Formats: sequence, structure tokens, C-alpha cells
Amino acid sequence: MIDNYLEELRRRLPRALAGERFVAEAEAHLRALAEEHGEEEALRRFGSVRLVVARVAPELAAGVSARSSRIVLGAALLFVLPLYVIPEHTFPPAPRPVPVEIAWEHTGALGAFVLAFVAAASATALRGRLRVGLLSVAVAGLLTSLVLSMWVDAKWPDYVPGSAGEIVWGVLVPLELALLIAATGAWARIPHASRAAARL
Amino acid sequence: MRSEVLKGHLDLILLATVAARPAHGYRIVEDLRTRSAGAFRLSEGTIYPALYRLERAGLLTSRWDASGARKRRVYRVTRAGRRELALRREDWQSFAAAVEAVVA
Repeated sequence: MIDNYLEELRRRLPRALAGERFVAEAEAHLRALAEEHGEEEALRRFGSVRLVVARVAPELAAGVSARSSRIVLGAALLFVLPLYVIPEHTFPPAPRPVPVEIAWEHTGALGAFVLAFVAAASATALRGRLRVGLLSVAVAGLLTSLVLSMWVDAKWPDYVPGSAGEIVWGVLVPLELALLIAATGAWARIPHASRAAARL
Repeated sequence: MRSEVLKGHLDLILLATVAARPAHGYRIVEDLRTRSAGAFRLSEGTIYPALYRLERAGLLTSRWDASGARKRRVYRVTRAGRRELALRREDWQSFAAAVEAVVA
């Protein structure tokens, strides 16, 4: 009986809400109750699956979207160092102005980054659908910023005499590629989880 | 006791119970029942949303404990939780004294 109950609980809790922790806690609780009072009484005391899910899911949803906001905000902050601070202020012959040939891409990357950062910071303070919308904007902004930044970095040695091309191609571009893959993963997962949260 | 009366004070009651001793969900429900002499009878599955809410607010913390026969998630009150508990306890005592003065 408890196994069926837990199976039903798993089925009804959206996977994106990461309800495994709750199901594990419910199992430990139910088994302990059942040892003292029997399975039937344990299930009666724990409450119907529908009631329990109705009360637990919103809390799980709030937890998921709060975590998502913090992750996106953290990612936005993480992007600043490898994409802007290091290339423009560290690489020889830094510091120097951005070459005019890649100025719009550079401005676009910075603009997308600022948009992503503001959206992610705002999302941490909000709840529900507005937070989901802001998270989507933040992730989209980060992806845009990354793609433009990769372009800027790849072109940098061509337009800035004396740039260390080996550092750009050996460190920066691979790092940006890794971040791009991570951000794409976030694009696929975080909004999905948050949308599931917002539906509840 | 009517459940709606209890719901209004659930956070205070849970914080006080976990502050008395760190415990997993089942133990918390048992402690609540024992300490209230059977007055507090919650649907056991519905205690977790309140625990999750308190944890998200930074008033409780939890971690898996596998030292016993069964793996369990044990909840503890954080420093912020103790401060919040002290505040809520004061509020409750003032409120209870005022109600007592009016009703008695």
C-alpha cells in the first residue's frame, strides 16, 4: 500500500519540481508510522495524495524558482570576469579602446549582459509568472551576450596588434564555449522547471 | 483543536518544537502531539510544506541523517530561526495575555 502511495505521489509531483526529496521524506515518515500503527493507519494520518500534493507542490515550486533565480544571477556574475575584465584589461596591449570594427558587437554583448543581470537580479526578488518571464529574459540575455562575446574575442587579435592570440584561442574561446553549453543547458532546464512552478 | 486555529500559529509551534531538539518530520509530529497532550493533530503529510517554507526563509536547516536504520532528513533551527522564535514567542505571550484578560 505504501509503495502504491509513493508511486502515486511521484506521478503527481511534476518532475521539474525535484520532488524526490519530499518523496524520500514521505517514505521514511510513512514506514516509521506503519511500524507503530500499520500501513492503513499510516496512510490515513499522512493524508490523501491529492491533499498532500496540493500543499507541498507550491512550496517545492517556490524553492525551485528561487534557486533558478540565484543560479542565473550567479552565472551572470561569473560571465563578467572571463568575458570582459580579463580580455580588455589584462591581455597585452591592454588597456586599449575597443576597435571600431567590432564596436557594435562589443556594445551588444555588454547591453545583453546588463539586461540579463538586471532581469536575474529582479527575478530573485519576485515570485510566480513574473519571475519566470524575467528568468527567461535573463537566460536569453546571457546566451546573446556569450555569442557576441565569442565573436568579439575571436576577432580581437585581428584588430588589436600585439594581442595574445594563443590565449584567446587556447583559454578564452574554449571557456566561453563551455559557458555557452552550460547556459544552453540552463535555457533548456530552468525555464521549464520554473514554468512548471508557475502553473501550480 | 480546530485546524484553522493551529494554522495561524504553525510556524511558531514548529520553530519551538525543533528548537527543543533537532528532529525529522515524523519525530516533529510526535513531539508536537506529546507536548500538546494530544491537542495538535495535524495531517502528517501537511507538516512538510511548513518545514520547507521555514527552511527557505532561513529559519530552519536540514540534512540527511543515515546513522539509523532508515535515512531521514533532520531539521535544526538556525541562528536566525532562534531570533525569530524569540520574537514570535514574545508576540504570542502578549497576545495570549490580552486574550486571557478579555475572555476570562
